[in-house]
Amino acid sequence: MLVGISKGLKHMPVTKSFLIMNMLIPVIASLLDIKYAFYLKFDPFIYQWHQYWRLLTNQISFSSESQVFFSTIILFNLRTIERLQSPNKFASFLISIFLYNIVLQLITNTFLKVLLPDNWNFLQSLNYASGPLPVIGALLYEYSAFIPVVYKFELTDIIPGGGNGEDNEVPQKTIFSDKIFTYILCLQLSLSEGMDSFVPMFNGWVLGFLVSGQIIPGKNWRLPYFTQVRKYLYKNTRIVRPNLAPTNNSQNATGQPENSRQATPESDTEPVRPLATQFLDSFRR
Amino acid sequence: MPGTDYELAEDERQSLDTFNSERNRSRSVLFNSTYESGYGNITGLRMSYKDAMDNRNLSLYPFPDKDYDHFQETEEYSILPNYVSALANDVWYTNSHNKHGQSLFMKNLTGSFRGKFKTSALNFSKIPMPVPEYLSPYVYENPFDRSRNNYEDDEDENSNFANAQNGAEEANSVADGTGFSEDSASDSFYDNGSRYNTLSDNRAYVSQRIGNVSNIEVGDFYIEVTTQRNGEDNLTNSNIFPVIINMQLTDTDQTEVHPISMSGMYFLDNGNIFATTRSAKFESYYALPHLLLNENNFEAVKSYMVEKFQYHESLESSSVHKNLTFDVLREDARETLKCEFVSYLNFNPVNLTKEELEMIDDEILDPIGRPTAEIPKFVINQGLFYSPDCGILFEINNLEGRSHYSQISRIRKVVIGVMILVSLQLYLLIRQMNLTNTPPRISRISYHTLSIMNLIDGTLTMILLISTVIVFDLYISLAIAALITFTLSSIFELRYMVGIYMLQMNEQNVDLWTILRGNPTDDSSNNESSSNNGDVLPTSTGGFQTQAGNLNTNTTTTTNFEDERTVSSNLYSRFFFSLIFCSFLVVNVSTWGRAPRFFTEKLILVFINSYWYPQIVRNVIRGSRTSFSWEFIIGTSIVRLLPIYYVLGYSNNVFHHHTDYNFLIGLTIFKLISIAALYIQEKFGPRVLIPKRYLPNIYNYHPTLSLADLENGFGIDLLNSKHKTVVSSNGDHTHKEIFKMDCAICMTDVDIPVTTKNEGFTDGHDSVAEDDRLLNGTDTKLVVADDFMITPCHHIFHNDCLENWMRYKLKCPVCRNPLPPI
Repeated sequence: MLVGISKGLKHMPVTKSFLIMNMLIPVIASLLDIKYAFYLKFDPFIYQWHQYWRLLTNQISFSSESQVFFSTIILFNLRTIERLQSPNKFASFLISIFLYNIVLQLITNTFLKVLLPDNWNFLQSLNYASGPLPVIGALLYEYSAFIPVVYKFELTDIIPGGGNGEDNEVPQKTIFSDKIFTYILCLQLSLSEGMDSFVPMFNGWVLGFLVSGQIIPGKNWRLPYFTQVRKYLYKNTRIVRPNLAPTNNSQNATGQPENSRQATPESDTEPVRPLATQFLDSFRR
Repeated sequence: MPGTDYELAEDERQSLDTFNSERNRSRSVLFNSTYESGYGNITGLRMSYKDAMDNRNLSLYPFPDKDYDHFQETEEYSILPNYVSALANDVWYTNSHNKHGQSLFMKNLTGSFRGKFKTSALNFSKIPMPVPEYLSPYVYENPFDRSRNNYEDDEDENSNFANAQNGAEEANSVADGTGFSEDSASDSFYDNGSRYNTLSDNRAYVSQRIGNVSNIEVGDFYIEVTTQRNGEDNLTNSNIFPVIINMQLTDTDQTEVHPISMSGMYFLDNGNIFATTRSAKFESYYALPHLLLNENNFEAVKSYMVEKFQYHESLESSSVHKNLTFDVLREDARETLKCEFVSYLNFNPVNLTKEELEMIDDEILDPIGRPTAEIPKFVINQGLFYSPDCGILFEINNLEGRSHYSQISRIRKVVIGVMILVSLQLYLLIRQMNLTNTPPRISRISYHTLSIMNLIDGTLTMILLISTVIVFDLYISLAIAALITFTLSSIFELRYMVGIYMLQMNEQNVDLWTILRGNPTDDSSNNESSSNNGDVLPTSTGGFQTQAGNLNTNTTTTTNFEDERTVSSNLYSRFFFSLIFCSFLVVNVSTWGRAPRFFTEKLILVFINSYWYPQIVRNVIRGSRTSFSWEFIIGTSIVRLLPIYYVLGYSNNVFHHHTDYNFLIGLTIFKLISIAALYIQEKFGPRVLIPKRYLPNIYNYHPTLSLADLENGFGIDLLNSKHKTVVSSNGDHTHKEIFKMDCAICMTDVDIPVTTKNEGFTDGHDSVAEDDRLLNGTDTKLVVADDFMITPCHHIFHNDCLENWMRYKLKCPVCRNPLPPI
């Protein structure tokens, strides 16, 4: 049902440690009875009590077992992204989303508070669900955009009584891909605490789009000393280079803001730029 | 009856009905009472202190000559003597203010306090409080209890007899089921206050009752206060909280323990608590407003209680006595065995502003990480406890305590400390197990050292599991700690023990002296011919026969060889039995009196810290310098000493254990000595501390032996074996020959050089050498084993071959005789 490129977590150190942390931190937190350190609600925590550290801790750990459970399954399914990119790129992406989200959270909160009508209370005082929901949201965007579909299947007549019951009617077919299962799990996770969990995950999705679409900088940023640290930690593991598509021009290899995924051998001129980049480039040039 | 899940006997049902109607009546008395009307007709409160002093007859209530419409807080009307009510007023109304000039108190006073209580030397008259006749059958669990209690408690022979008879009669009447005639009961009961002969009489055995602390002048006092407010937030008076108090009075020797539980009210505006016991002979709850010293309190509390009753009734649509099951009745009846108490407590106001206090109160209720000030220390300023029926008064002063919340977080820290220490021990053990993965190394380790450690860890597991039930707030932490400890004790340690046991099994049937020789198969003649340098493997018959004898003992051991499954199942069952025994012992010891408990504690502590001593003995027996790695020895010692340091060395520990520095120092020295002994053994040899003459020698794999030995003991046909002769160059008399033999392990040749020397090379005149000389003429041919090893069972191998082999098995590859380790 759920398809991955490899069975285990070999050569995926970032996903592996992410998964371990995702399970270990909630356990330790509940042992120490400091689960409340992950709560975040702008009023009163930020506005009244100025507990700004909560902006950082909020994204660290989930607060309920079911969230931990579902997020573990999801992260395991999203591990293909780490193979597609590289541990370094993957880790850098996670960190940049984490940091961007702190800013976006502030913006969202202000936006919701100022712009929404007064009676939309459920959105105005969000009790941000704790846990790496934004990161998972951003990864989900990358998953949907870059990970190829492995297989498709079709279901007929999933809506009962959709047709008008005539015999000669062609049965309605709906085509799904294997990704649907991951999406369902993500939907469950994002709605686990209603709006409180949906907003952070949606924020993450948006950030994933913005960063990997290079609308905001960060795609080419790398964690400093990542390789050195990894070499030190995993002396015996071979570092796997990401399986990049062959590039024609040397420009891409030097780290120009081009998406090498798009660089097809046929286009000998300039590779096709993503839509957002094209859009932004019209302002830049 | 609603709420009762078992069928009641007819008499029980009748009693329950009476009980319920009595409660309803008492409640209506409360509802209709005014301050002037006094307690009203409520069980246990019919007589005032003055009436008791006048020895009035309770059966004549209401006393016609008494005015029941002008209640005042005097001993004329109240159950409190004037002296006590004056004291109580002092306790309650000499309030101090905090630095902000306000008297602020925590809403949530749930916490525990420890201190001393002082019993007043004054003698008070005892107000008679008989148990209502319809409840007396339920006071004791069974008739046997009842009569035993009577025998034990009464000093006076006559009353003893009377009581016993009475008990028997009552037992009969209970058995009859219908033996309750109202008349006879009331006759014996309400006859005269001074001549109560029935069980219900309090005075007959009053000095033995729980709560009677008149013979303790100063004792230890422990009190747990629980303020609660469940679903009553919508009541008008938000300054009154119901409170439950559990206290325990002990004498300094801790031979007597008096547990008493009370319930009452906490007044938020002045930090006062009133609490009282409640039983079938003292239904104080319905007179609670009147016990609050003045009319203002009466009005406030009465309206609060009425409102509360109505609120609860509105919640429970069914009848008012829904909660009153037979269990309530039985409980109420049993409580009559204790002394009744009324208590007046006053708390110190906290040094915080109103906002800070509110935040702390909210945070305790619902912790979300508010930036609160630290929870202030709870201090009971003054407290007074008076027992109207036992005539006891005792006071407490300046009792410092801790809130339940901070107490729990302190215990949590301890539990997490335990977790860390146990994980550390687990890590050390796994490393140790990896280091000693070969049989010769494992066989050096003492089984008993590990079994002591295992016993401690197993008992710790049990204690942690038991505490999950006791400290319910820390259920998860305790359960995880228990899990880690279980992993350590019954998975890793026990696995290791099984391995050690398996390897040391061949020593079981051998006496200690033989084991001390380093190995059962160690050469026995070494001992006889110690003048022989101890290195010469004897040839002649004597030596070899002893050897054969030894071989026999060994074969018997090998036939008794058990397989691993049997061993491990044996060890596991032994482990679990000792575990249960130890847990019971620990739980039992903790309830003993002070002196025997301390003694046993010290005994146990010395025992559980003696785990290196078996290893020292083992080193001596085995003749090995090293056993455990030093990392493990030091680490384990520290890990296992730290908790003892915490309990015995830190006065503020959560177990409220006293500190004992001298014992702690002694224990540390005791442990250091054992570690030092291990160090000396490693540095200077395992048997350096024991005089040489008590010890046999350790077997030498490279003995010097004569050629004749080679022929006799090894059955090698020297003439037929391939050999070459090398004439040595140095010296005129030296002459070397090299024989060749097959090494059974690598199947290549072993060179056995034989040196021939002229006579007179030995200064000793032992008979063996003598014989050889006679046999072989004047020359003695000697074999000096350098690059090959000779086993005790006379097999020859290459050095490297046998050493490699012995890393896996301590048995001769040819004949399977055990080999002494190198």
